[in-house]
Amino acid sequence: MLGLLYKDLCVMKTWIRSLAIWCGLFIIAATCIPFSKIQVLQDANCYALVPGLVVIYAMLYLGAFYGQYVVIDEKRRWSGFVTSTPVGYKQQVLSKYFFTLVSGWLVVVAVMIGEILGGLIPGTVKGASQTAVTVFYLLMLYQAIDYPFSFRYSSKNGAKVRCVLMILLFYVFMIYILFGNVPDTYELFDYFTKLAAGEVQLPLYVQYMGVFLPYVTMLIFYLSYKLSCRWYLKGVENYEA
Amino acid sequence: MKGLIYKELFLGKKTYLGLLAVALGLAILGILVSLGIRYGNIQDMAADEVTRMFYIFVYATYGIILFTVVEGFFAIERDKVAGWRRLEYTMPITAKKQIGAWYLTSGILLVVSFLLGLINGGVMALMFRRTLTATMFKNMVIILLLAMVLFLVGMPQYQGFSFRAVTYIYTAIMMVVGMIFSISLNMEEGILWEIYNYVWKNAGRFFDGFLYLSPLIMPALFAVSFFLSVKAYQRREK
Repeated sequence: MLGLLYKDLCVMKTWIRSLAIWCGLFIIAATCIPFSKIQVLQDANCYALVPGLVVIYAMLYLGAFYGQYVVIDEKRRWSGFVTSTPVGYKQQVLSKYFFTLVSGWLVVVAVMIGEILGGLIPGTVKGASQTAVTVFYLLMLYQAIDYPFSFRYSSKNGAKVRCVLMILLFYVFMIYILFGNVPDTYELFDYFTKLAAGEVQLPLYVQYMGVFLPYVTMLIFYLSYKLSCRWYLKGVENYEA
Repeated sequence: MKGLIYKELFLGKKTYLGLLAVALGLAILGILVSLGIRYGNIQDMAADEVTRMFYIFVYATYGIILFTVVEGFFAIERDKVAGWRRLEYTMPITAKKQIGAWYLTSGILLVVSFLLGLINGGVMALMFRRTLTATMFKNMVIILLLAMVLFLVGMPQYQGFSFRAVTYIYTAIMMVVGMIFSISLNMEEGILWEIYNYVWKNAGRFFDGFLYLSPLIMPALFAVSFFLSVKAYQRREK
């Protein structure tokens, strides 16, 4: 598997480099923001939202990275070749899952370092690491659902299904916004800024969900790996030559 | 000719259906918003805002459908890549026929888009309880004519040069013009600001003039564009 991971590192080096640069920028930004003269950043409520937004941006980038990461091996020839080697297709699938997990953790660690360095300066708002860990697990949960479909139907077809689902979700969201029992927008914004600043606590059931989230995610991640192994060879037929 | 038109429609069906799906999605969103205004959470929306929403859903959907005109440019590139020209030599197809097929297909698509835009406008008027006024109809005709101008101006260029080159040049021009205008708009002074103000104030008059002169301008533009396209097509042949 080490060889496969090395191959992935070589093929995806441009993406990894830009991800590393971004992580470095976050560390620099986290230490520099308290000295900023930008008026918006000096406002405590807005500054409280900055770490969360930065983390979400990082995770979105990581999501795009994973999308590309599966595509690189979607070749019928490569799949046949890797299956015929002593490594086997199971190690191939495992390497994808392992790399996904490790790269996600590296981003979380970068955010933690940024927060620790930022924390040395008084006036820095904390909370980025917590948000990063939560978003990391949510992202892993998403990847755990996405990967088996990508392996079975190829990323191209998987993306079509995902697109349709996103559109349906958007319409459901719009119907809820237009006809559902929605709280006032300002109240909602106020609540999130207070939540980010640590002035209010999340509801109890959400806290419990947060406790079980890592265990549930890891369990689904493992089941997803098993399913991907089962579907891998069936999916090869959908790949390009 | 019939076969060539069929070929263009068949090859471009993914684009047409995609654009139609996006427009349909927007229309459904418009219906949802109108229902939200009547029965949902946005019942307290001011009358002006409702009218603005109505305009957005009429014109935005219409604009998306009109994008089918761009497919004509893709068709040229697609034929170049597929090596259609080699096959064309074995058939009784002249350059005029091929170019004519592209123009006719785009013409048909533009008329269909206009009709779909009108239907969408009618549905939105019904849902938002507003009237599809004569001014709106006139605006839709002007937008259709502008799309036609875009097509007629772009066609000879796409015939003569590579798809990528023309697209890059236009994108660069648009970016530079956009940047200069946004800078001058932010400064709120200078000659560009005055030009912008003048154009903005007289836009209605300009478009009205364009509409009234279109029976003269459009056939002339069509003739020039067709002639240049055929020449460019034949030049590439050499």
